Amino acid sequence: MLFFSFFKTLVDQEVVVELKNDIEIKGVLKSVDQYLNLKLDNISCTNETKYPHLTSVKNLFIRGSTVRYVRINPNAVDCTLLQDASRREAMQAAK
Amino acid sequence: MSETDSNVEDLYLESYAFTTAAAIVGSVDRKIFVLLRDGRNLFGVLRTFDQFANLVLQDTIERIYLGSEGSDDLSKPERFGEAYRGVFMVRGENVVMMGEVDIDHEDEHLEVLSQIPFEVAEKELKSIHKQKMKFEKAKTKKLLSKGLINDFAKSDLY
Repeated sequence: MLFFSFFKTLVDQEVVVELKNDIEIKGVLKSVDQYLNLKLDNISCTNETKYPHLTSVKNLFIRGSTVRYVRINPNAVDCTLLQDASRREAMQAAK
Repeated sequence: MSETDSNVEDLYLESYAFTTAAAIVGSVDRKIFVLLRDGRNLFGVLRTFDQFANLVLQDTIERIYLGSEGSDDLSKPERFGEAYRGVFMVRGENVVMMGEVDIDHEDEHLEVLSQIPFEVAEKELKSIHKQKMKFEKAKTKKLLSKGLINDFAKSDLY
């Protein structure tokens, strides 16, 4: 559940999502659920024109299983906190 | 939308914070597009859904985008074909992405494309997919001989 919590802290930030079909979508992260399905607002496609109708799309729901990467602003990530949290989760799992 | 309507939605969002349901509930009864894993583009009115993103679409249109004639490059669309499909029930696992369509601007991108009959587009797309499968199959074989795995599922043509 660590990454779910992590993504929840990124809500309202601008992110770039790269899908497994190589298209990149920039948008404001609006919500995330336990499968890491993402919902983006104000989307724009940065590198592809394969799906031209995306220009008239307002918000986008992306299924978590089709996501390859999510690029985030480094300033939005507290690495120490994230390290701490992952250690804590690993410790709990070991118990 | 009346005030009571938006309140109902707020309540729903609060009790289901950050679930699939909360993310999709705002698009019910709106025109949406759905991209499926097999590469299909569906446009229709979302009538209902559940926590797996299973969807029911009404008055659905399926649209195929193709490159210029004789080109198998799908990333520079110049032609399209579409067909009326009616009611669709989509199983959630086949959804790649879905989004609300701005009905004031939905046809703008079509103005620069030329329309061709759906049957022609379908046939052409089928042969492009066939080629891609052939390519991926060869790639899998080559990678496997080096002890590597090709991350490609047969049904992933989006």
